[in-house]
Amino acid sequence: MVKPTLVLTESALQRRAFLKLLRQAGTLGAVTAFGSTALSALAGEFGHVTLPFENGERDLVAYPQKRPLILLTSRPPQLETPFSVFKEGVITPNDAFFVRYHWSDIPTSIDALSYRLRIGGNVNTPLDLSLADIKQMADPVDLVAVNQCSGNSRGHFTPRVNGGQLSNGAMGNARWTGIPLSKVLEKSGVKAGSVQVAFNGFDAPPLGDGPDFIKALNIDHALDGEVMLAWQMNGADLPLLNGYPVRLIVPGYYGTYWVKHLSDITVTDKVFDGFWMSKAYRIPDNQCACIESEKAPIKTTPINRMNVRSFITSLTDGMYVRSGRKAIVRGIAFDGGYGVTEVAFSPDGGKNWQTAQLGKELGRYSFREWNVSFTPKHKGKHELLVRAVNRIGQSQPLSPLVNPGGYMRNAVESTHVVAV
Amino acid sequence: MKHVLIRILLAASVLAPYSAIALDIQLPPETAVFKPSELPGYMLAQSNCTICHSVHYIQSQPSTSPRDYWEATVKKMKAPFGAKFADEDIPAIVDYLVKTYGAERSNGKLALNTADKPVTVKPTTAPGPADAKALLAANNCMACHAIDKKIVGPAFRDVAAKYASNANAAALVARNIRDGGSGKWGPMRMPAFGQLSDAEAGVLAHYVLSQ
Repeated sequence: MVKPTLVLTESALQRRAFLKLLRQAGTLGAVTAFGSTALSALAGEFGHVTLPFENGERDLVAYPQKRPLILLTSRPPQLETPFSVFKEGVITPNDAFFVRYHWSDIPTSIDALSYRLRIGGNVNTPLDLSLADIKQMADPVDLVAVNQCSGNSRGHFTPRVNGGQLSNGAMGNARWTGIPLSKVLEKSGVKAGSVQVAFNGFDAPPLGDGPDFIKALNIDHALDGEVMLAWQMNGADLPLLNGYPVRLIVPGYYGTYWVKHLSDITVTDKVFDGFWMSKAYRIPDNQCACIESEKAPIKTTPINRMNVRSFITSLTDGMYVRSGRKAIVRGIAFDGGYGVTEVAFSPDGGKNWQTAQLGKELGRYSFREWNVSFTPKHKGKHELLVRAVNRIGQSQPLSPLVNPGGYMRNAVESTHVVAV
Repeated sequence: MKHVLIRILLAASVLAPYSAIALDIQLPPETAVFKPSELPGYMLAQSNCTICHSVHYIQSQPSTSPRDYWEATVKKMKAPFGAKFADEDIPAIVDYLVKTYGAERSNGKLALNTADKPVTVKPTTAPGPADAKALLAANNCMACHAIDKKIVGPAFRDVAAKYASNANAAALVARNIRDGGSGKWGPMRMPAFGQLSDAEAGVLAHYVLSQ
C-alpha cells in the first residue's frame, strides 16, 4: 500500500483561504512608507506531512511571507516546498519557495535605505553601494532560473545519508530581476591576477568562532555576465527569507552559491579557502561525482553545476487513474543550463519508452514543462518513469549515484499509480 | 485622520514598492524539545545544542544513524563550529543522542545510563571578580537573549519590566538563571547555568533587571 506523500488536515485546508487574505494584508503592511511593520507568522502549525522515508514526519508551518511549508528546522529556518506546488505551474511562487540557512544568526529586520553592499579585495576602486546605486548601475535584466539545494532529495537515499533530510521540494524556479555581477566588478576594476570572488551575506554563526558562510566563484565565472545580483523574484521584492534585499544568482549552479542578504563581495588573488568551500559542499572529483559504496573518494572538488533531473508533477504515488482511458501526464525537467532537449516517459517500469512533448522554453536555466499521453492498458498497478536528456547528451541514471554528502541525487524518478 | 493617512500610505506603497524602508519579520515560536532521559547527556544537550540550533537537526536524522555519526557531528559542533562544551562532556552527549535518536535507541523506554563513567558539568566561567559583560560572553547568553528584543529567550528589558514591582526580583531572576526552566516565557527551555556561583548569578540578575 503506497501512502500519499502529503496529507493536509481538514482544518488546515479550511484555514487556507483565510490565510491567503491575511498574507496579502501583511505584505501590504510591510511596504508602507513608515516601514517597520513586523510580519509575524500567522499561527503555528497548519497540519503535518509524512515524507516518503523513515522518520519523515514533518509539520507544515507558515513563516512570514510564506504559505505553510514543510518545516525541516526552525532555528535557523529551513523550509521545503510541498511537491504539489510544482503542479501549479512552471514558476514557483515566492510564498512557496524553499528556504535554507546554515547559521541561526539571521537578519529579521532589514532597512532597504541603509543597506550597503561593499566590493573590495583585489580591485582598483573599492565600492560601497546602496540599493539605489545597485539598481541604477546597469539596465535591469530578467532571467528564469532554477535554484536547487545541493542536498535536495537526500532523504531518499538507501542506505540513508546524514544531513538535511529533504524530499524533492528543496528546489524552485523563479524569474529573477537584477543586474549582471560583471557590471559591478567592472566598475570596481578587477586587478590582473585575480583568481576568485568571495560572497558574504548578513547571516552569521551565533557563536563567534564558527566559520561564516562565505562562498566563492572563479573569476571568469563571476565575470561571465550571467551571474546576477538580484533584488526581485517573480516581479516582487525578494521575501526576507529568500535573501532580501539582494542575493546572488548563479544560474545552473546549486543553491549553496546563491548567497542571500549580500553584504560583501571580495575579489581574491588566490583560491578562497574558507570552510564552506574547502571542507563543506565537496563532491568526488570525477566524471560521475560519485563513489563506490563505502569507499572514500581520493580527491574532491567544490560542488558546482547541477545535473539533469525530471519529475512527474500531475500524478503522485498512490493516485488512481482510469483504466483504458487516455490521460495527459505532465511534469518538469531541468539541468545545469545546457537545456533539456528530450524527455522520455515509460508507462511500464522501463520496458517501453515514449517521447514526451516539451512545453514552452523559458530559457535554458528554467524548469521545462513536458506532457505525454498515457492510457493504462490494464487495471492495477503501473510504475511510471521519466528521464530527461540535455543538449550535451547528459541524462539520468536508473539507480542513484552515491557520494558522501548525499548531494546531486538525480536518479530516474518512479511514480506508482493504480488504474481502476 | 489616522485612517486617511494609512490609506494614503497603502496606496503609495502599491504604486511605488521601492519606497519600502524596513522589512521586519517575526519568526514563529520554536517548539521542538529534547526527549527526556535519565542519561547525563540529556541536560548537556539541552544546555549546549540549543544555544545555536533547534532540536529538529537531531530529531530529523534517520533512526539508523550510528554512534560514529553522532560522535563526528558533536565534535564538528565544537571545532570548527565553535560550541563551548568541554571535551569531557562529548561522550555523554553522544551517548544520549545515539540512544535517544540513533541506532542504539530502545523504543518506548527511557534510555538507561550505560556510559563508562559519570560525567559532571564543568564550570565554563573563570573564577574571580564577576563582571556582567564577561559573564554574558563566557556563558553565551547573547546567543539566545538580547537587551531589547526576543530571540530565543525574552528580551532583558521584558524580564526587567515583568519583575519591576517585585521586591524579591534579584533573587528570583538569579535562581532562574542557575536552575533554568520553562513556561514563563514560552515553550523553549532556558538551560540551567548551575556552574555559576551565587555571586555570579546575582551579578547577571542585576544586569538584566537594570535594562
